[in-house]
Amino acid sequence: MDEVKVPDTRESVALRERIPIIEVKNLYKIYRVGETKVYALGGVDFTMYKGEFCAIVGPSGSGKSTLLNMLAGLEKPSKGEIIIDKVHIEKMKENELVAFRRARVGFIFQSYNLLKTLNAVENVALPLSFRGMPRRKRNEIAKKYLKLVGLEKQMNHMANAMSGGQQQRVGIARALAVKPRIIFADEPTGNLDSKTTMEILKLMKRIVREQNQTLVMVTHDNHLASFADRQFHIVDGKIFKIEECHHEEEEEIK
Amino acid sequence: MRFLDLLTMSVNNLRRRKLRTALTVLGVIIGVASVVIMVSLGIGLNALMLEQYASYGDMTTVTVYSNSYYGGSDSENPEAEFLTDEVIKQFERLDHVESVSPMLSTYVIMKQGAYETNVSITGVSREYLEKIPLAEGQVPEGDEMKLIYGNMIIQRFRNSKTGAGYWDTGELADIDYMNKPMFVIFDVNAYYQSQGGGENQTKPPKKYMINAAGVVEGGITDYNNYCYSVYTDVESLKTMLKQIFKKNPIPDQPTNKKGKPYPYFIYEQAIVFVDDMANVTDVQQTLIDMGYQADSQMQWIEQSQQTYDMIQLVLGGIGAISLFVAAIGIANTMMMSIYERTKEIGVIKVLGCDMGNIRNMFLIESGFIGFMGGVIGLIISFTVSYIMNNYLGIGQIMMGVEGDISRIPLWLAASAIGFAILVGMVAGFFPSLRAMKLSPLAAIRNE
Ligand SMILES: Nc1ncnc2c1ncn2[C@@H]1O[C@H](COP(=O)(O)OP(=O)(O)OP(=O)(O)O)[C@@H](O)[C@H]1O
Ligand SMILES: [Mg+2]
Repeated sequence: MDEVKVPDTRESVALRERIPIIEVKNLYKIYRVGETKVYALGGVDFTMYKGEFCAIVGPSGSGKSTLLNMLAGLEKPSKGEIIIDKVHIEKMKENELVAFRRARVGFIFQSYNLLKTLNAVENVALPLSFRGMPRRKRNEIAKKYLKLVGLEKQMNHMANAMSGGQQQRVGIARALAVKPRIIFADEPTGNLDSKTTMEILKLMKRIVREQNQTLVMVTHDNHLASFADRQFHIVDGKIFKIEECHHEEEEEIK
Repeated sequence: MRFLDLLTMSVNNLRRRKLRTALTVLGVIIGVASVVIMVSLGIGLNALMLEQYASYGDMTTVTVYSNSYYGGSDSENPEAEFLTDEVIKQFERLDHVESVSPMLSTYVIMKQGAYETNVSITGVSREYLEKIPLAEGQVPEGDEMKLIYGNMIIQRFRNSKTGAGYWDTGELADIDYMNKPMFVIFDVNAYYQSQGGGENQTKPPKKYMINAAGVVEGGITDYNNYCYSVYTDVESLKTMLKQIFKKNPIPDQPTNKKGKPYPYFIYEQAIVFVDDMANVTDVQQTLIDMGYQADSQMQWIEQSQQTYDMIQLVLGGIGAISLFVAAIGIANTMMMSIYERTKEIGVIKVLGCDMGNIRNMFLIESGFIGFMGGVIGLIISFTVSYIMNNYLGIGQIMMGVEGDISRIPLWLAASAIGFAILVGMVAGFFPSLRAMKLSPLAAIRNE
């Protein structure tokens, strides 16, 4: 079937060309708690490529969130370099980081973080409004993405009049609507049951694959991580191993 | 981010906490209303005072006297300080001076029918005559001397047989200015000599028949600037005096050291018309510097104005305190609101909302609180002002004059709203900076 082949060829092209999009060199994050130093990250090096679906896996407290936050420019590293799309972000000022996220990054939260006063369409359109897009145009785009995540019927629901799974779909639509090059997700399915988790995961993977975007997902669930192209295993703030997965189960996801 | 989107977000946030917003706005309403009402009272008091002064006389005129005229000058040649036609022309050339009217008074006796009186005729310029509000008649045309009578002059006529006047009998003299001529005796001394009887009785001087040109507006007891004088064109008066006295000295005109009259007319006063109230003091000072005495209403007004400025300041200050308290209320509300929305602010920051936009969102919010308070406060101020002016009659009680005690001019209304918005924004400024600097990590944490 064609459907199977198309993502396969794209993936292989991406792997063959291997355009680096995130490069991390010798990254440290040290927290001071009183007298003691906590090495949340203790020297991390890796590269992520365009169109890849990467999972960051590890036990609780290993530094996964810390790593993701620094990649998204939410926290400053103590030492080391982060190069995203050929730009060093570790030296950027806060307003530059905000502009960087606005232009290139989508973010999916564990606790959805929709704005309670807005309905689904307005929530998805919100990051577009930060770019100064006029109301009609951004609502059109928002509706398109809400359809994509299967929420035609809930478009005008207020954020807290939706189930967790539905809210997370809105969250995904919100992250995707700005057409970011990279999407970060910190335990996006952490608050969902296993059935919804699988649905959400498949949804994210499908859309990201279709649009050739890079998805970086943090999880402590090895099973979920196994859906990724590569798994970055972190233990005690260090990369323990990077595991490549070959996706025979691609069909299973579909 | 577009301004409209910012505004919508801010207003939505305010609507989310209706009661809290309403209470904060209430603070601003009270603040704005008290400032506006206090200032409007200050303006009202000041305006009432000005109106009072305006009723005493024109506020844009300066009256000039010469020291020499009354012999009060000890200078060597008093001639230099006389108010002559020459000097009047000189005054006219000064900046901000519209025109100058000389004042030439002559003491006469007037008779009509059974009534007579002693009165001064004042010769003034045409411009001056034109400023006098007339009840009937008009400013005289041509060279013939005609008189304009003040509306209270009629009180001064008395019956020449009984000697009883209005003040004795309470009856007004039966005088018809407009339809009957007035008999005027200019040479008053000669007249009294002729009345004296005995040996050195002389021939009575000639009476002149002079027609009226008009009567000043107002009832016989209505005081105004012109009510107690009889006016005529100064040129016609000069011609008349020259014709009557020929080479003899004209009464009330100064003489030189040898007791001889001067070959020209010397005026006791000149009235200088200034283009604007604001320039009156300057012109007055210039005239004083030129060596004349000069008076104007302005000098009194300025003194009172200083007093009223003080009152204004005190009243405004009292109002400002409540506005200040309202500002603290706004700041407090904004801090609360930011505290509540820490997570939300973090989220929009993660999603790429510009830091300036976040700050502006909160500034608009606090500015909007100020705006609403300003508008409602202004409406209340207008209502209170209306009640004070129309039902309480405070103006009557405090100043003894008719008029509005509380006045809200357009500039006050506009600046009240502008100021309310400003107060809101200033009060919201530090909270908004704080919101701008909130860490985006707050969005990530799960509480
Ligand atoms: N603000 C902070 N101050 C001090 N220590 C911190 C801070 N944030 C994180 N840490 C420490 O850094 C380490 C890594 O934390 P991190 O949140 O990245 O873990 P994680 O891998 O995301 O764990 P989990 O799976 O439970 O979310 C932990 O030991 C934590 O205690
Ligand atoms: Mg974590």
